[in-house]
Amino acid sequence: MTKFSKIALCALVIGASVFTSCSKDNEDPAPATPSIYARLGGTTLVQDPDAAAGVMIEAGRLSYRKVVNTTVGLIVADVQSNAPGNLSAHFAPLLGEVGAGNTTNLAELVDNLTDFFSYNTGGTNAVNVYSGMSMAVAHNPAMNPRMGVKSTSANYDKFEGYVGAAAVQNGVAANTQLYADVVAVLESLRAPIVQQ
Amino acid sequence: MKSLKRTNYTTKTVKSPIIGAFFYVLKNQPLPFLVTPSIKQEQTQEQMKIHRKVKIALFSILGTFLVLFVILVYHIATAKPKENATIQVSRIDFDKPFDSLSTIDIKEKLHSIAGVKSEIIVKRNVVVYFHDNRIADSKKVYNELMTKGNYKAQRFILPANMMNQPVCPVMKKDSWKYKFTKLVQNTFN
Repeated sequence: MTKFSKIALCALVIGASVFTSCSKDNEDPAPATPSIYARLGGTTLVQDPDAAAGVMIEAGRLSYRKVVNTTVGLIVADVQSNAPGNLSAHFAPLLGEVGAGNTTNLAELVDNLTDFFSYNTGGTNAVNVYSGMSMAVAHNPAMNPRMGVKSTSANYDKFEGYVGAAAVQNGVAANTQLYADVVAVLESLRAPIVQQ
Repeated sequence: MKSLKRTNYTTKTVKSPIIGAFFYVLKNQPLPFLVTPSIKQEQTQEQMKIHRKVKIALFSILGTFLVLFVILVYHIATAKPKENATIQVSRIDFDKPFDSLSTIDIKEKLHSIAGVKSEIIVKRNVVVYFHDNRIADSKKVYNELMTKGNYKAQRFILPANMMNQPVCPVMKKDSWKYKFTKLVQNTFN
């Protein structure tokens, strides 16, 4: 009886350990949500539509560049003389330069914004490395001569609206998780950008 | 050490010792027969010290330039070229708003013009497009577009009051900082 009890006890312990190791607790955790950059196309190389044949660009970067360009375009479309609240105070000088043939700052703005969003949302390849100023410095007129006036919260709301509209125009539907994640990224930048 | 050598006017260039002495005085050099060996030694050591300082200064300047040059070369070599560095944004205002069909139509027509980039934004009666200013300026694009349809439109030119809006109100225009910034910008742009 004692001998059988010992065998039964051993069988119980072995069985318990086997079944415990096969329990759900040890299953692999659910895969993490891919980064925004990955969901926008990631590092897959595609033809750059604005460059010569054979010039490739990461699909994630191209998506961001399209959204940035569209955002700038929507802001430019709204620029009117003496019309408050359409960000013309921030973008008119840039437009004036571009109209005069100096396109350096427009190219730099588009490139920097594309780098910034790409790099900080998962596109960490060298092509996306952001080398511009921090958001706080870039939006402080005392530290960045390009910044004419400080941004208000209303300005930033307007800007977020433009980015949202640009994202929708480029295929990111407003009722998706991707759209919500992009808005969350923009909201995380509100504090350093809004300085009055 | 080369400069320490004194010209021996008496033996090499001038025959007369008196005229030779005159040249020594003229060149502000001590006459050889008046200079004792100890004075000569002191002078040599002092001159060597000066020369050493000059050498250190020269090498420092040269080294600084070399370091700056290496940094410049590294910066140029590793700089990421700007995508679409010659990109320009332009706008055309039409007399009436676009519907979905006319939006597609105007986009197609603009895309068919050389130099116009992929992003074209149509909002109400306004069309904003990007183009490569090496291939086509905004006037050329506008003129070509007008030949492709019966449009009533005008090229958007930024009003003077907005164009003259100061980019940087925190900088006084008569300050040296503003002038220097303008000079550098004008040089490189």
